[in-house]
Amino acid sequence: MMNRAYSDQFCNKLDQSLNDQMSAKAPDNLRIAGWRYFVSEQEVTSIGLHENKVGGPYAAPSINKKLTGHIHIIWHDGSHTHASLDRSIDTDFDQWLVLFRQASFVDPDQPGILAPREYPRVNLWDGNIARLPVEKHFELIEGSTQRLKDDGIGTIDGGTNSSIGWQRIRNSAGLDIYYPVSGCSFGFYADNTFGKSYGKRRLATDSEKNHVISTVGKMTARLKEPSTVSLPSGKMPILLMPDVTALFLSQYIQNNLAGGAVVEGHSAFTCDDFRAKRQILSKSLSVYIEPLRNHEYGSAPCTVEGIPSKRLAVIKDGCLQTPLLNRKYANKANMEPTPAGPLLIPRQGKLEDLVEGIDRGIMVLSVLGLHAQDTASGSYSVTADQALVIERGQLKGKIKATIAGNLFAQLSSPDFAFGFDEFSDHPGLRIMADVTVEKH
Amino acid sequence: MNMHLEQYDSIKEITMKASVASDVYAITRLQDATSIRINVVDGKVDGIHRNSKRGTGVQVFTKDGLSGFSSADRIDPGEVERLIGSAAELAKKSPVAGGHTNTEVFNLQKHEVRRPAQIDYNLNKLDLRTLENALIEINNETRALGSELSVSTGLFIGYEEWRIFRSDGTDVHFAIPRCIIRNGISARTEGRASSTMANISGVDPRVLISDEYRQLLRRRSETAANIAMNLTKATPIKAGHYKLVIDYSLAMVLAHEAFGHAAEVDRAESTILAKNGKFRTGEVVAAPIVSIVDGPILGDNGDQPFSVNGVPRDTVTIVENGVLKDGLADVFSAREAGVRNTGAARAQSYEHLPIPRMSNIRLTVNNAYPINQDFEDITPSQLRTLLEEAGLLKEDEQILYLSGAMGGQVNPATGDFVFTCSGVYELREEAIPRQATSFSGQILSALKAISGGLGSVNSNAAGTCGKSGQMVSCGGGSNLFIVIEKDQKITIGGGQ
Repeated sequence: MMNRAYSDQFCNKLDQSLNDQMSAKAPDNLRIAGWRYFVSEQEVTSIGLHENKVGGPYAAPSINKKLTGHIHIIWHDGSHTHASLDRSIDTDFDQWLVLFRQASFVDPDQPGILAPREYPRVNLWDGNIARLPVEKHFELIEGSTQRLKDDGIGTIDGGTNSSIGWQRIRNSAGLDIYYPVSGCSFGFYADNTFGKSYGKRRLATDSEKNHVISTVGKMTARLKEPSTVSLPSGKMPILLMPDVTALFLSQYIQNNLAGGAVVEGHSAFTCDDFRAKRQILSKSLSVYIEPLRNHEYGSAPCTVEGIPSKRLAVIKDGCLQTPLLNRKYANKANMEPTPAGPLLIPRQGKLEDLVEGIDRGIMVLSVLGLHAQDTASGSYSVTADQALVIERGQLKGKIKATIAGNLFAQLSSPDFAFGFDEFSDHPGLRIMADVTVEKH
Repeated sequence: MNMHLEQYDSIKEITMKASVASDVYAITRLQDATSIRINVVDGKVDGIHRNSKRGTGVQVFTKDGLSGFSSADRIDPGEVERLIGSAAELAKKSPVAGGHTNTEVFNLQKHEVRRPAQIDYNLNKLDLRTLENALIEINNETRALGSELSVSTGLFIGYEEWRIFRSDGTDVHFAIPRCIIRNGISARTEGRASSTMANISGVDPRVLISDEYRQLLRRRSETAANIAMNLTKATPIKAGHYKLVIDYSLAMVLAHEAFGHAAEVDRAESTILAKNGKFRTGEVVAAPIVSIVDGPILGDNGDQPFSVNGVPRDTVTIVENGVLKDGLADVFSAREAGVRNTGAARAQSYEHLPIPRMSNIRLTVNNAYPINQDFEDITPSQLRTLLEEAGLLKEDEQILYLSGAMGGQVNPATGDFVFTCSGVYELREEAIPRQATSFSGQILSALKAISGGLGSVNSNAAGTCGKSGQMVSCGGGSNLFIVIEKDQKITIGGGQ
């Protein structure tokens, strides 16, 4: 298992079973007209750190092996089935087939199986991860814990994991894409105050490890110092740090660009908005699907339907370009399907310049309740439970505040700016927001 | 009803023998879960998705209490032996100096229980066409509530079995059926959009599409649709501190987010409800009229009768008349936190390590003012009169009504919580809709500010809870309405 030979064996057998159902000899109600599937097998090794305790019942060293996937079947009568796959289909195909048929439905918007195209290459494998002994996980946890304790941290939570495996996409039109994947992630959360993590499809460099650990130590120490400045409530610049920006972009940009939400009327934007390339954000802001970065989560040579990956603007110079569309919703919207991948803003500007440019405001390092906000309205009102006062470009201790506003309006305003640090995919965002400072 | 994991009796013997061979104590967890989701949009079936998850997780403990875990996506007696060996090897690699030890598992009592689901249908043989047609009708009825509405109607039907074997001969086998119909309602007027939802839950989808339940969903959907349409025209409420009345679904979120998570004692070193690692049993944490209870209810969305460590789950009185009484604990955390093991361990799936979680949590107040109407029949406009009749609101007193839970989040270590409601009404002579906003504050301040309630206890609010990367179904509720006095540590909104 966990190699090309097993993948060939599993997938060839599944293909044979599916193709047998495409023959005229198959019973009418179980006869298949086309199929496609995505399969992923992986082995994940992990260990956790729970309230300073390495391993233990809640964070035990673990090895998890599984094969998961998704299948789309087009039946002879034109109906469709979408279902998850697991390893048992290898031995119980006939039983699975009946269950697939039970869940079939008529879907006139769903297109047929896509013929293979040219696919780009993207490297998602690091052989060093396959050779990583479990002892290295313990070493990372213990070494990091020691450094954080030396920085004065009392309670540390966290964990590390590595994974190896493969992914494969096949369909009845001859598509067959196989690629090996690996993964490495770790993160630490200090004194129930501040956390940071790393995650890529390759081992972290010493510099990346150091960035995570030193940032956790440094920012936690700052968040323990009470504010030395009296900050009145009111409208002021706030700086969302990169990890917080990622949450805001996911909640308000990604969710409102989702094809299903747009087509079905649950998004802030309509199909007509995209056709008209309506300007919804500042001209300085563009957002791209980025599926071709080597060794990054979210990268892949194509979507599970076989749409080739490429870099594609979804918002360009503040104007809507396309929703995120699979083939069905592309059909419904009468637009082209899009690749899938992380949504990123092109790197421009420096995060440190944003801090220096704020005369009086707050830096937001963590928020509570963002996932429960109304996505379609763009409005938010959340608790910034970990925030620092900024005065004349200097950090002046911790405050807690409620921050509120409408992200679409804020990202359209001339007050908005963004800037990157060396390590994060997302920028820090400076926006003007309503801030209600909690009094002690 | 036959259970899917019935055929694996032999794994009991294998667990016992293989753990002896590897010199460890083992807990073997088998899970077999299947679900079907049907989604209807604009009067048409938009998708049916079938999901299955099946596998084995083994957690072992060395005599010193070091733990290791191994899982695989298959249920096979031979695989269990391999997993016990693999988990034992990992446990023994834990650094002897730094590896955390916990030997509480050796004190567990043996249990042998079988609880099949109380249902008379087989998910794999359900007639989905009948369900599809009913959902299309529900979707069409809901869309007819307003021309500016988009409605997505979803049905989730799930059936999950767990079988837990331990080295002491324990064999606990239970099944949990769940289903829920959810109407996601979006309104769009003059470029402004807003979303709300309404749902009903139970165990049998054929019952949920019966006239009685459809009528209930229709009434809830009417309320949600009115909120969504009002929201697109509503003005914001000035941020600040207000006297509040919240409905039972929000009170469930208050109990869940603002209190239940802090009562889970796996984080006894950090939670605000513990001091120096010990649960603060006996301390006053809420107004004297407030009690909070968590426990499984048969047929509820959060039902789970046993922990995934094979321990019966107790109904726990966490707060009684304002006093902290008990925590939600599993075998590993109970003694350290100074509380009893209440069998609270749950896991999202066989591949996750169990942690203490809530099941159905309800917040109740003593001497709630009785109401002879169903919750769905009480309009925001009537609520002010009811509150005045109950003596919970003075004639000229300002109050906001927060309606419909959209979710929330808490930091149990600091006590900060925030959650979002789908609608806000300022209750004057008329109920004036305001833009939806957040309700945030400090756990203990919120519970101490509760001054009364209206109506009997409704515990059928359904949701999904996330903790440590694991999602589980949950439920809860309260009296129909709960009144919270104005408090400087409870804030509504954040705008100016």
